Amino acid sequence: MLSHNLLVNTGNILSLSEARQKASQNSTDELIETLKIILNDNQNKGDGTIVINGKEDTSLQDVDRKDLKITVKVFISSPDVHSLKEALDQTFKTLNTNVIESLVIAYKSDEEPENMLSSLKKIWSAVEEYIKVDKLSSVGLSDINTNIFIELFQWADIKPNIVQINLTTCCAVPPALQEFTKENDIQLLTHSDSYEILPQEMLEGIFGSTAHLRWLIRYQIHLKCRGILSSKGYLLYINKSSFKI
Amino acid sequence: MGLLSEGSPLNWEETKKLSDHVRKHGVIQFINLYKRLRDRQGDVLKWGDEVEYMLIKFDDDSKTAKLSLRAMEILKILNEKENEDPKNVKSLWRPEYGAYMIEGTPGKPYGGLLAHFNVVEANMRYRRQEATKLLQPNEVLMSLTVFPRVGAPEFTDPPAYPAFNTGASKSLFFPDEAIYPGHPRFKTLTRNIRERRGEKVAINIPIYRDKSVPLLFKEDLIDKGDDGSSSKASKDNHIYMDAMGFGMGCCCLQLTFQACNIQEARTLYDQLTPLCPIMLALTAASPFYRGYISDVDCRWSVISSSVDCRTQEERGLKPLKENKFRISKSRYDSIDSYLSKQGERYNDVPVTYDDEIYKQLLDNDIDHLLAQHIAHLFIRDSVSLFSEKVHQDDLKDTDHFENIQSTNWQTMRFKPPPPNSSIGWRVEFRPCEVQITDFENAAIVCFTVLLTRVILSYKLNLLIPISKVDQNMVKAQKRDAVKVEKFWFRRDITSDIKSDDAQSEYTEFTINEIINGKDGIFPGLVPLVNSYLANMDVDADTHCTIQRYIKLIQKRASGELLTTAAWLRKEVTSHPEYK
Repeated sequence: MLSHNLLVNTGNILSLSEARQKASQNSTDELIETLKIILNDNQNKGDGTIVINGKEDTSLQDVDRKDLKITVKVFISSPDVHSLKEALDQTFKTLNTNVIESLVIAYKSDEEPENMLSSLKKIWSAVEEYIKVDKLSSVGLSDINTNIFIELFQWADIKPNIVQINLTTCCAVPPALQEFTKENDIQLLTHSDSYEILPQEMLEGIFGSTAHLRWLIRYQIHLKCRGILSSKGYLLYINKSSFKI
Repeated sequence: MGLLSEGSPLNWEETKKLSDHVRKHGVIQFINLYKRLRDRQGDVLKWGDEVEYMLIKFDDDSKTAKLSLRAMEILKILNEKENEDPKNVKSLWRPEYGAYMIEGTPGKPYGGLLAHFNVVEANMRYRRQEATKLLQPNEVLMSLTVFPRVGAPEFTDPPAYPAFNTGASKSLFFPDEAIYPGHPRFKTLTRNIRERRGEKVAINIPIYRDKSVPLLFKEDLIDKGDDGSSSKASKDNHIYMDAMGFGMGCCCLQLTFQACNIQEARTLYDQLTPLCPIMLALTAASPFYRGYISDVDCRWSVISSSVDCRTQEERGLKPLKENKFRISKSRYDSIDSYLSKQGERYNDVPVTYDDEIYKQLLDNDIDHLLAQHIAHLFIRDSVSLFSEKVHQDDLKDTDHFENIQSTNWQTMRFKPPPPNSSIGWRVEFRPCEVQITDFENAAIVCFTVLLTRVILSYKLNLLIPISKVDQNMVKAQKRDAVKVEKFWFRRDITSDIKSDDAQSEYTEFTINEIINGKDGIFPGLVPLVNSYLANMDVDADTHCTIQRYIKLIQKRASGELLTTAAWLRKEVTSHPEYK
């Protein structure tokens, strides 16, 4: 079966005024809109890995790295450690940095709690390798069941220190989670991403019916002491087989 | 309210003689500081709020409320902590114009972390409690923009009576005892502004009309001791006021931001300018004066007239003879020109400025826009000068510059770093009226600071011609402006596409549309703030706090919640004893 891989790097989407205009859109709409704009400008077709790049990011040229905070959220749906590593390594490369200050893992899966925990343990072990060599500073998980989080926390060598919850429910934080994060000095952060940031049918709508999303990351670069968002973009790694699987 | 120099104040004749001296050295001081600080870089975001309060004394037996003239006594105690340990206090207290007013700010500025939004309201509450502890029974600290009965008979405690022949104001209504007695600046300003103008200030605000108001509303001022000048200055069907205290005795809510460099300060100064009338309308809180209901909701034009020191010549009523310029606005008014390159094309109102000063600034490497701004501020005379401060070292001191700068009370203020400090270039946002509760004030403060971050992050462009901002300032003050008026606003704030004709760049929106958005046409400021927040990894606590604030702003804008002014009106007009 012939297949090829596609790496899409949206570049700094803050420079796309079309995206800014629709401020109220959620991250799924934002992502799809962005992909449409970028793909429109790149009509590459062929075999092997194709790289599609959006606008080049020039916003950080004159900024000292120590004034920046890079936060990354990685969206994966398989416990395959290889994709996670691939995603992280690609991110370091694309952002031209040795360290990511904050990483949140969004692991979407329909597994039973026991399987979920063992998958997360696999993922976490891979993450710990990066923390040990100081490539990641703060790491955590998003939309995770409180009990599973507590179990993972107790099991982990290097503890997660972020939990991210969807902001629509944030003013009703599960009390157990609130208490646990407080006691263990874990940051309880909010996000507004939908459960599935790029649903399969929308992926197929853009990349064709044989497209399969291996991983997706979103990065945000903040100017630390000034409360300014200076760059934001997505990286997607898509596998396309010639036949529909 | 500005620079508080200690010392012996000079009277108007002496101050007038030194006018050119102050101007000359003020400009040199600005040039020197500009050379020293123009390239200053890398300052972080720091910001702070200023809330003004009035002391009100209730008498339950006679059912009266009066302004308590004890601010000086209370400030003395409030300042003790700061004097002992200035670096570790949670609040700072300053005098204001009224003998019944105090101004409180956080002890230290807030910084660039979003978590700081979570402590703004708590600090405001702390300040209110701190001052409230010092009150007597029946005294209450209130953050009211205007005291409803200011200038009505016996509105102060202890009672004081206007000295219309001899006082600093010569007012028929506002006694000198209501002016803060603890610093000479306030009475000096009052007297000098009146003397410079050549007559008493005149404030005429249209009266609210309903069946309780006679068809012709006209007061007998001679009865109150008028020598004829007030009767001449007052207009029919208007509430007439004749003293600086009616304006400067109002409380407001101000914000100051530190920018990372002079360029960012100029950008913020410009970008916040079109928001001034919008925020003024949203925070409208001053419908009453002298115990009457007026037909306007905001204090702005009252303060503007209350310190209007322009002579008849300057106001265009007489040909220019003694004075140098025709001046279109009071020294308290909305700004006249943008400062950033991006703003230049929207400077459509001729700016009055001193040619010699302008040229001198250009000769010293200051660009046209900044030179024009400074030369415009410097068309004003000093109205408050202290004998100890006349002779200065222009390389080190900046008092003469500050003297003119701090008596140009405009919607926005562009502030250079103070001498020998770690503080950077700053911008002050001055249009907002103060709200009754700490929650509301915190909401306005946090929303405005968030807007500055959104503007810088998304590189928004809100600019419209200055003439349109001026028109918006007039609309903003009208009764129920939030509900009724449409405001000029930039059509597309998210892209930088310029058209050849500036006219097609802006259109009219309601405040609801500006704040909440208009489907498919305008994104709305709140959705933009929310989009920014979603990108900022906000912690859950802070997020929930900010959402409560944003809801208030949204509901005020949509009309679902009344503005403070509308609520106050309703309370009075629906009262069984209203007449």
